[in-house]
Amino acid sequence: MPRLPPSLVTLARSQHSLLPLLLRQTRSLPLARSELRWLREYVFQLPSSISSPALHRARRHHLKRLCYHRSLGAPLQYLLKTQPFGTVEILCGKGALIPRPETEGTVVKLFQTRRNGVAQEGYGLRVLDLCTGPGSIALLAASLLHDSGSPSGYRVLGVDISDRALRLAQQSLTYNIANGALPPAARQNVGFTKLDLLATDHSAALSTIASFFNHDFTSGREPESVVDIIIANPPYISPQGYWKDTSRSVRLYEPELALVPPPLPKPHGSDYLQEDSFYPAIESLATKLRAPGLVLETGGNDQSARVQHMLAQRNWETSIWTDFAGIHRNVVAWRGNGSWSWLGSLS
Amino acid sequence: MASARPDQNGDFYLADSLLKRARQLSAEHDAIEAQLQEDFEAKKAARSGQLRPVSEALKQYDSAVENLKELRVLANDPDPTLASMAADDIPETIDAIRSSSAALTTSLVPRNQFAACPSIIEIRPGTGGGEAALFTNDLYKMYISLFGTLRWSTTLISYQTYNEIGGEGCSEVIMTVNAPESYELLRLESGVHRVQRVPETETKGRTHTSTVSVMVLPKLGEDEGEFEHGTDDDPLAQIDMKDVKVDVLRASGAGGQHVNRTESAVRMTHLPTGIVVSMQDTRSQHKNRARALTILKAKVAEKRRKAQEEEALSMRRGVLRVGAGRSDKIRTYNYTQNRVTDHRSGESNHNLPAFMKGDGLSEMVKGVKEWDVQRSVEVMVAIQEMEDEKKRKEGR
Repeated sequence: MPRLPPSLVTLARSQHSLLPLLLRQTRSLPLARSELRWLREYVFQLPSSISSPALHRARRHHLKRLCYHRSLGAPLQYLLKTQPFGTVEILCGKGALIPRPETEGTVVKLFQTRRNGVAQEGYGLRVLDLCTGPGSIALLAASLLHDSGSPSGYRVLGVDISDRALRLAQQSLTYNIANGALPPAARQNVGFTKLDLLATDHSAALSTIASFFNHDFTSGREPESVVDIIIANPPYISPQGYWKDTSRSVRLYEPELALVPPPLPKPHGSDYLQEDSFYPAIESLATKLRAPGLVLETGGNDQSARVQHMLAQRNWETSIWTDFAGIHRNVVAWRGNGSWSWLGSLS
Repeated sequence: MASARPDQNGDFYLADSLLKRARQLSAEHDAIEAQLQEDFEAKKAARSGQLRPVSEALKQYDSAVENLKELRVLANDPDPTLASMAADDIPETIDAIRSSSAALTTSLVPRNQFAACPSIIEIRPGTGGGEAALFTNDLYKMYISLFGTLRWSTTLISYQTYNEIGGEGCSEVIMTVNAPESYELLRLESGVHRVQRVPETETKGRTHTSTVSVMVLPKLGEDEGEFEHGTDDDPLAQIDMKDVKVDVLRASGAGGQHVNRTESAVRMTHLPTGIVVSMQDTRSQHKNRARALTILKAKVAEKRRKAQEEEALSMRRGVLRVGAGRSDKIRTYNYTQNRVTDHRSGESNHNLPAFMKGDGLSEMVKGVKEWDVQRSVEVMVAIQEMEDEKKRKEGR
């Protein structure tokens, strides 16, 4: 990384003594100023019982400490303990991936821009979020589905292997209900459960998922499909890419478990890549659950092409969605000319 | 009131077109009220609430005018006691007409949609190089002193020093004024401020003319509900989202899980008008988007409104003395003559040093506000006349 020009650091210092610390991570003065503002807002909002001059000193000290941690690379989202994600706020902490704006864009595209498309599904949409991490996709989906006023409700299940992430997801659910971002009914409609997607035997996963969705949701629906749409943001970074492409703050603070898939014991053919481990597993689970629609996040154009190829081989209709930076971020897939073929009309 | 004019008796009456507009609105109010009796609807009730002051002021005005007519007849009564009693009441009634026509004028002027908002002030040097930077700092100090006297809290968002030429200069100031309703006071400060003086850094004693541009924007609330109210019902603020280009400003790279940057800035461009808004207020992309859209709509509406006003006013140019356009300079600070003149209200203050300490600024703003109300009325009348003209042409 190029060295920061000393003139920029001097300029930053002349504006606020803490700005040079933040500048080390943000690399841009306007962003450093924004981060300082957010940190200050956070510190000065914390409830406290100390008297005012001492309180002010304590808070100044706290702010300084946070800026120091930030300068060492701690993600701002961990320091502030939350990250806004669409209409909800996700609690952030060690052991869970910080929700990314690209993912936010995907979920909004799926549930909001095509609100009509989703609403046509009618009776209670069933959403399965695989590799949910701190529950970001599941909670935002619940919020958007609630806002679209689906008459017979919705059900969202988030699945992950990490206990820490799942604990955080549960807390996020409570937090968002408490601050009004989600209705109290979300407590019944949204669930989180621990499953290992890479396990060779899917029967445990299938029965857990089926029991969550079949609970009073069986009437008036084709009996075979257990869920309506599967969304997943699985670990998709290769071991080499982990050292090459990720930022230092990501490597130092975010769980590798959420970023790099483990190698599979027996490779599926010669062109198998470790970073693609999850996609075939998700596809086979989707097939077993008879899910008519799939939305998968990937690491970029090449991976999207590989995933698209794999899905096409397994008789899915596929299409690509690009993110705001123009990168092929999602592979979307649907069965035949089913009710999810509209996924292909977005880009 | 410019729009009220004396008749042959020296009595004040409002301009016909203004009255016509008031009667239209009042009729609309009565119609809505009648509908509301049968069937309550929140939107209609809100509209009726907006129109009520107009309707009430019009009733007062009408009854005062009626009174005056009767008194004039009675004043010519052969019975001297009756005549003198009536004559005694005439000045009082004229006062009533004046006050009710003032009330009517104010009620007709639409309240700014963001009037109740805190505000963001941006001060930047215009033409004049280093001297403009020096004056930017002076203006910043002037506003800070004013807010000190008003006991309004401010937050400095950005202060870029500029001291290449010596002296205390700055190339950008952005601050928020946290007091609610501060936008209503400050919005008229938006524009080009011109300074004429011998700069501190001038060695040969020449007078320089430089400009500083001040921009005041409403600061929108945290609550999402708040920032939908203003622009939703405004027909001029309707924009097609196909015309809006949205850019998310982020560093290039692999994105996704690879990075955890905090940048959430959103930039929106309204392609037909070329208006650009960028927003990095909150960490939430979602909120930045919503806010950027509100500001964009407000700016587009402002531009369209201005175009409409200009069209209307151009039809009766010469009749009205139209104030300087908003893009022109609004105020001159002349140090050699120890004078500040606002070009819109035409008022001057002859104690510049005190003015720069914030003393007298509120009074000047009051004058400008009166000018603004008067101008709004003139514009409204002009638009009304333009519409009538169009209707008449269509009628033929």
